[in-house]
Amino acid sequence: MGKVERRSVLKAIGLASVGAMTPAVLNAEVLKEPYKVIGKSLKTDVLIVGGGTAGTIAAIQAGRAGARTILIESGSQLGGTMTTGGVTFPGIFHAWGKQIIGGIGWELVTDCVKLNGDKLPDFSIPPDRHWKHQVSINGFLYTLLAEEKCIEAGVGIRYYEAPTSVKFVNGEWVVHTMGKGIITQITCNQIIDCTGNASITSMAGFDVLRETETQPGSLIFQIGGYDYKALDLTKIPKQYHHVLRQNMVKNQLRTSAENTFVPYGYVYVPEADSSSSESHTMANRDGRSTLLNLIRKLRTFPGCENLRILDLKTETAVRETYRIDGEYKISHEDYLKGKVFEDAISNSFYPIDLHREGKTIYQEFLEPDVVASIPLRALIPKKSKNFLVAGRCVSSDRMANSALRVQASSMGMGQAAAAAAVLANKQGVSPLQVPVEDVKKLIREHGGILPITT
Amino acid sequence: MFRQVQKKAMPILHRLWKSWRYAKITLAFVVLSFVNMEKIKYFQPRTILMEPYSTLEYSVAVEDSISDTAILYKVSSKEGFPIYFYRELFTPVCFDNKCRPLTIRLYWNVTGRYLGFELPEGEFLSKTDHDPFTTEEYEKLNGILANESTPLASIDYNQLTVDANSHGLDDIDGIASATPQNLAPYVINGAAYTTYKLWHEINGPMKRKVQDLTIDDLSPALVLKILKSPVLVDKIWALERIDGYVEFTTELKEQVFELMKDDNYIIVEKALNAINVNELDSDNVQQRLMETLVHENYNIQIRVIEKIADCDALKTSVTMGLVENLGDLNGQVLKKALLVLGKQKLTSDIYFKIAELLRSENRFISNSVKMFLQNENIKEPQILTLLKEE
Repeated sequence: MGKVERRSVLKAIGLASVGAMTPAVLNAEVLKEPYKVIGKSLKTDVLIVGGGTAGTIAAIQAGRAGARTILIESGSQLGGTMTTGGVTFPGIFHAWGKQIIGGIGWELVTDCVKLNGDKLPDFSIPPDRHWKHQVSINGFLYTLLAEEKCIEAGVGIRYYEAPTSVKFVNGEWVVHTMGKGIITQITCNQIIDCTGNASITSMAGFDVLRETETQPGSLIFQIGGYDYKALDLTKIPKQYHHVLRQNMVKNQLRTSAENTFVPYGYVYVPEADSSSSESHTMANRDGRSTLLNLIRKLRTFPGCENLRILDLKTETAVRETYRIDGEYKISHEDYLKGKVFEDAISNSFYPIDLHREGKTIYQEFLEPDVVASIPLRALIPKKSKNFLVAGRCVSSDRMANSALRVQASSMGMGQAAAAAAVLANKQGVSPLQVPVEDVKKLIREHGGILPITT
Repeated sequence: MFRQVQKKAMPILHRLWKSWRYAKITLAFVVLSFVNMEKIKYFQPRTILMEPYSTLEYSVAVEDSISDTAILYKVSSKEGFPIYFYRELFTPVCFDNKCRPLTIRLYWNVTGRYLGFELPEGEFLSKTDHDPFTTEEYEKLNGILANESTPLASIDYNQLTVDANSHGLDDIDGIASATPQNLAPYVINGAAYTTYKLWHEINGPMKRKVQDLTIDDLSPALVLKILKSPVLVDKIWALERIDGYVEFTTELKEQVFELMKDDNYIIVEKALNAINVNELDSDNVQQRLMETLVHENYNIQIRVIEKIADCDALKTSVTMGLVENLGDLNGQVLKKALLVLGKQKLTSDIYFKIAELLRSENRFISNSVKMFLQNENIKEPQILTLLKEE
């Protein structure tokens, strides 16, 4: 026997033990067939493209109104600018001591506020600065609640998918999408383009417009590790004062008693455009490299040696790309005068707010008691059938658009577009042919607040 | 005597009557003289429009350059309702390091809201170089003081000046271009310090004292009076001071439910919050909430159903009412109504009634009802069959 035999015995015992102890799962490895892209065909009443600010609300509204609804989103979560973009202070829902935008958007916002244990601002007193009535929310909660409400409403959410073609065939839209490992053909009666870029509108063959120069996007972040009040600003170049002040850690903290506004830091991203993977990649890359250089620079200033980045949003939030050429174009004058259209389906309240060359902001404020309105026609591309848009690509001139693009207004548009789409589907017509009073009734039944026509 | 006066006056009156033009000029002169003799005073709408009867004095701690206490006067009606409050303010206002005293009477509404100001006879407010305020500037000041939400609330004295190296507060009113551009709407040009000082007097410790004193006097009758104010913030103030402050009398209840019909959702929400949780056991309150749920719009319904959800147990009639109207409810209101029903002891009849909605044309309604019934311990075979079919 000797050592060899002993070793053999021990080895045999060891192997036996391993065999006895090994869970079956470790032996479950099998060779899989090569990855392949599958095809799928779906049918629905309403298809919403883009799960951002407007699209999420549109999907919930369509589902709640009883329509079979599919929502496709090229990213991984709902909310868009509110969540991935980090603009977690939607507004404006109130004007001149009254609520002017309500419905599903407001429901989501207030649910966030309640679940986070926050309080709403006192809306009864018009603020000295419009943004004080923007409601600061927990963006993570918004993501969760938006998804839950979509599922409750029976919405079929399809993340990571984007359309590759859109065709109107025999009175129905046939949309092909491409996603991770899947090519889907979705046949639907009505489409709502909530991409923010009017991408689907353009793919469908309707006209879209763009300014020669667009407003910059913003990449939102938070920095800390310094005390702004203790800084000797005379030793720091003036152009950096704003970013340091805006990012004061103290101000980033939520004081739940007065949940009005959380200051945020951002770097401008000139010409940010999210309408294609390439342009969106560029916007993200530009924003991130600008921020990285900024952080490096800031750390060279006295008092900022320990400055560090605390938060960085997933992607650059975009302000302006394409707008549709709609049945009606809301003008600067319409907006400032608070023109109330016969087919007005949502209010809008925000100053004209044009970020110019990434340096200054041109603003014009609405006069007391003036609230702007959005006509349904501004959500319908010219010559289109069974097609609507909602969100910042609303048909409007540049100045009006700089005010209409904000979140509460986009939510109002999302709800209204879905109401029109659901009724058009039910009545077998195009949205423009649905009696506007029917649209208004449905919006009202689901909490939307309509402009008061005299 | 009378005859002598009549004898002298009659020719004059006769001449006046003969010349209507002259009469008009005379009349205008008399009116203007009266106006000139009047004190300068500006006011906002008052909530309690009763006749003053008595005045009480209260000593209030203040951080004043003259004194550390001030007297606050409460003016009440014969019935004992507070009507308004005021204080006499005597403070220095400085120009180029030269000071002159300012005497002004500041008024507060019973809700603590700024009510107005009044200057002693012959006194006027002045700016740089002692230029008196114009009528427009008095009106603007009246508006500024009435605005509770202004940058003046959060800025420091020194931020009123443009030049960071200026001498600070004392010479603010003395610098012609001292008012930063973004503060211009919130101060009187050339009298920034005066404006700042008055705004902080209005919104400082005195305001809190006024509110405390009104709260001491609160009664259902006083709350009712304030609820009828034309001013939104007064109504809200009163609605926030019902639960835990005064008895929820029948009259008050009526008024609170009336306010739930208001087209301003801020009011509706506050009105719902005014109902104490203990009141929710009352048959009447539950019934009124149900009526509101049925007749009002979605935005009000959602708040009402949340209130109903706070009821420990619904009265049978209210449960039935909720079930009867279930098919007319939308979105989150329907979801929340089903949650409320899930907490009640439901009879077989009620389950059958709810199950009718399984055939609703609206997929959202039928799916929501299906999920609800699947979570209930249903024993009725017909409903179980329906659930399988759907």
